[in-house]
Amino acid sequence: MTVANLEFDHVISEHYVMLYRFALSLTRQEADALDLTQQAFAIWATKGRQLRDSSKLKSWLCTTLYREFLGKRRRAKRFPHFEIGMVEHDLPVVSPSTANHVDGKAAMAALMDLDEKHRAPLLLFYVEDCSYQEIADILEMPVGTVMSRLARGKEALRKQLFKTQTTNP
Amino acid sequence: MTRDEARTILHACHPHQRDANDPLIAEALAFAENDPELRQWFEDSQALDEELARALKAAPIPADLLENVRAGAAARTVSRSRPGRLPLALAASLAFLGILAAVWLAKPPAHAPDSVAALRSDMAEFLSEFPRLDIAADRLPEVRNWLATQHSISEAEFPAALEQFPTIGCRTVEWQNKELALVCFMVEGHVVHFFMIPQGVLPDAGLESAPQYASAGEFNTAAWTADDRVYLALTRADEDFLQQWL
Repeated sequence: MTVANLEFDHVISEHYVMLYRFALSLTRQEADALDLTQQAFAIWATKGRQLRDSSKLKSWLCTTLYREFLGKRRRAKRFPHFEIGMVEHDLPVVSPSTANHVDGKAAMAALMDLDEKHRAPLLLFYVEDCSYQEIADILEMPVGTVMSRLARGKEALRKQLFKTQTTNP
Repeated sequence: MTRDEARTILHACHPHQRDANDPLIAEALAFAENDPELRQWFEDSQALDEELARALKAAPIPADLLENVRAGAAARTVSRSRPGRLPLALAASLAFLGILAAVWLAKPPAHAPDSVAALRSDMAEFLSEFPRLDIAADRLPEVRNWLATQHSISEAEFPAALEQFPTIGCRTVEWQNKELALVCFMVEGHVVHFFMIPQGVLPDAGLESAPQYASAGEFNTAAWTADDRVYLALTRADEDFLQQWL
């Protein structure tokens, strides 16, 4: 294996789980998420090796993947899009003890039920521990929009979990 | 700052107030200190966020994800020729093929050199190094055009089930001093490598029109013959997967 291949392999091994989960949060389809993940690494192999600051690699990969996702969506023009309402002031309360009973699959399923514009920031917040500034950089949107989407997304996620719990106590 | 603004900002604070040094979050935290109801909401919210982060980080991923990402990413790392860059791309491709040929010729054959077993084994070894493709092409008409111009294969026959999937690209592979055509398909997240071996390269292949399956290295393979050509498909997915599409 050449040095270049070793570097390629190392970058994939370090970031593939993170990137796949991010892709899945965007597409909700495993095959599409895998497709985007592969494509992001392939772009890194051809364009990203000049990236001087290795600490920016994660962010670079996420941004690249997100741009690919947007590009594919524009081409396909078949993805339904809907707006959720403004944040409600009196939401059903989900106590911390409720979340103790949520396993990974259920939490991911609840996340996947949300609108894409909320899934991506929430995934980056919860799974990748990204700050709001990092999320804004990756998704290339204003900080205020990120904050608003995090807030609405979290409240929608809690509602979804509450609904799941009351349906399947 | 209003209570709703503070609440929106506090939603951006990770568990254990890890972002407390951020000026905006610090301001919202200070606001919450003077609002018992908001402070209680924030404490509950942080506890819930911690559990959600733990649960989401524990969500399972496919067992063969790493292998599939490696295979697909490498297969897509192709040289996309552009008019202005053609000489450089051509030189790089020739240099790469030269090195490849040198390495190839230096290896002792493990099977009768022109047997189907040797073909399976050699192609599996070749693909395990994630070789570059000559062109990127995601649609079959482009692939057919490339086959017609590069390999004089004007009527390429692909398994009907495979034709519904996008392609990744194609390349020429030299084997036993003959040129084989390789077309890569992306099938439900797995790469299927499809070789077309011209008439005369494997004169005594002993193959039939029904695919014969065998593993080779890290790949599952299927070989068959039709219209005087030999076909070989390889994938890192299991044999059942391959059988579905051939």
